Amino acid sequence: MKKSKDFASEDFIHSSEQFLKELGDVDSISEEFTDQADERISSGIRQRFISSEDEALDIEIDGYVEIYTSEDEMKAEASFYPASEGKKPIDLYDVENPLRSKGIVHGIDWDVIKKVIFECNTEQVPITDMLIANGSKPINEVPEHLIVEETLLSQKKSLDLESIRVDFRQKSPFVLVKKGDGLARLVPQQEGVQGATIFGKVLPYISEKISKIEPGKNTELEEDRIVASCDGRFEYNNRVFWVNEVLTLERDIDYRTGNIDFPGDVIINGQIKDGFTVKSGGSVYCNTTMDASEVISAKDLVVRLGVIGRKTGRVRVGGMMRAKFIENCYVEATDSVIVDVGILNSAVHAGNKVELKEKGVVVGGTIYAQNGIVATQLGTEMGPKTEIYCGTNYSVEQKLKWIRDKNVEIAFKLKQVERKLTGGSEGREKILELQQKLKVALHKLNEAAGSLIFQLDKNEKAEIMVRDQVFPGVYIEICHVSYIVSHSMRNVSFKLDKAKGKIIPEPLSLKDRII
Amino acid sequence: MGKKVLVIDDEQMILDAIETILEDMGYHVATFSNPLEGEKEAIENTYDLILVDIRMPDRNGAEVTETILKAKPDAKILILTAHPTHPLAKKALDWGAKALLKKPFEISKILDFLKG
Repeated sequence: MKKSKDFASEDFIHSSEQFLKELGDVDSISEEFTDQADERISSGIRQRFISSEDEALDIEIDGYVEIYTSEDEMKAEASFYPASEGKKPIDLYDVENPLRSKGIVHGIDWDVIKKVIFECNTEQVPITDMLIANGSKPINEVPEHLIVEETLLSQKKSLDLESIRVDFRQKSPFVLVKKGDGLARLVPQQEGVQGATIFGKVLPYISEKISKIEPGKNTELEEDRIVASCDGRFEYNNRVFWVNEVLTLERDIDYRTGNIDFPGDVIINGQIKDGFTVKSGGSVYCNTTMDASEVISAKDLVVRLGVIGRKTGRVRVGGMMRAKFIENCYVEATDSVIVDVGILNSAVHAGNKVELKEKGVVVGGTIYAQNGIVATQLGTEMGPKTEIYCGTNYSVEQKLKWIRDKNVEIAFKLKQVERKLTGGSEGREKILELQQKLKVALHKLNEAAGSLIFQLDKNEKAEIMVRDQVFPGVYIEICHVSYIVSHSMRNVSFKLDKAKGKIIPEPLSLKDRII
Repeated sequence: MGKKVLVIDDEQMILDAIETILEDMGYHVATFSNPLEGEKEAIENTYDLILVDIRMPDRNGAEVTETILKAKPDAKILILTAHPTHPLAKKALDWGAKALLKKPFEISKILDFLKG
């Protein structure tokens, strides 16, 4: 049978000759292994690599698998090469045997191996670097411990970038929490688990040492977390965390601290700088002078030295207030205001009494004291006008007055609305809507006034007692009955004579002259 | 050591009030209701600030200011007066008093002078 030209054989021969020629060249220069020769060898290797696929077509081989292991013995990868046509495809033994011979026993992923074998055999493509065995790392033993909430450790107030203007008085370095807020999570104990390399070598676990942080005062356990048992400032160190219901400020309140808004008591050992505010859900104790600032406390305010308001200072106290002196300040206290030395050019409103001690003078300004005032001196010879109002709840009176004023405004607006409606103005629907809103507002104001009237207590027995001297010009009012001091008087008490409807000055009893 | 303040005023209540407030703030306060004694003290000792009432019996504040400043020209004197336009007040300023403090004076103004 005439054979057709066998091109495959010719090619094979040609390439073999070429191969031998190259090999011979290398032999001839083996004594001087120059860079040039080295390059030729590298080039040859590269060429072989590039054309390996073509060559593979030429060499008929069974399917086979190559397995590589990592240095840390935690990984085994395999490359799968398909069989030439008619030769034996890869089967599971082609993987099992090398695995066994290499000693790989742990973490073998047979599912992957089977899948890749199937794919390699059916698609007839090499599949390389497949992870077929994985060692397992040990899991360390961790004791039960608490983790402080991340938000508390890195709490920072974000800036309102949209508004551009940033009021740095609003920033606060304190982390404040409310009762029931989560402070820490309980992480349960984690059992240790041994690991293993792919060769089955055991990797022991470590018992981790956790620096334990414990819950401190004003905290409580609630299921698997620690919560605050009261409102306050969250504080912590490396060993313990707690909630402090008292905020102690050793430094001045300024741009470094920002305004203070604290749910509990606040103790201030520095000064409150001009323009800053302190709000407290409890009492405020100020160990220095209080300067042109705003202080609002739900309970008492005690200022060891004085309050220097500089006409902008403002104090609102839910309980009593005590200070050495008050100067140019606006003060509102639900209970009494007690002052040692004097009240100067201030507006003081006390829901109970205003009491001035042995040296206590009231000079200038206005005092509203529902249940009376005791002072050593009222006014001065040539001093500014001093006004004393007693017997009524000033705060409620002010609110009622405000409501009355607003009522008048609303009534006026309603009249305007009615005129527009009868006049047939445009936008009738909107005007009708406005009319309805005004009526609702009026109703609400009247309701508020109704409830306030019951709080409008009168104390007709409220007294103004002066231990030493009251100067001419001092204006006195008890339950809206007025009296102007026309001449200097000493040791006198001003009382309301209800029957006569006027205020009568009486000599102060000996008992009342004693401090 | 706190700054030293001398107060010369015939009104005991004023003396008591200033003494009580400033002592609490850490200042050393000496008070004299007799202007002659106060004047002598101001000359014999050194004070950071001297407060002198203008209307006092025996010797008015302008005379006290004059005497002190003649002996101690560097003395810092503030005049306490209910009548800032009174000729004696003007005279005290002419003698070298630093300022007038209108009665009832404000502690904040005294503090401003002490801190300044």
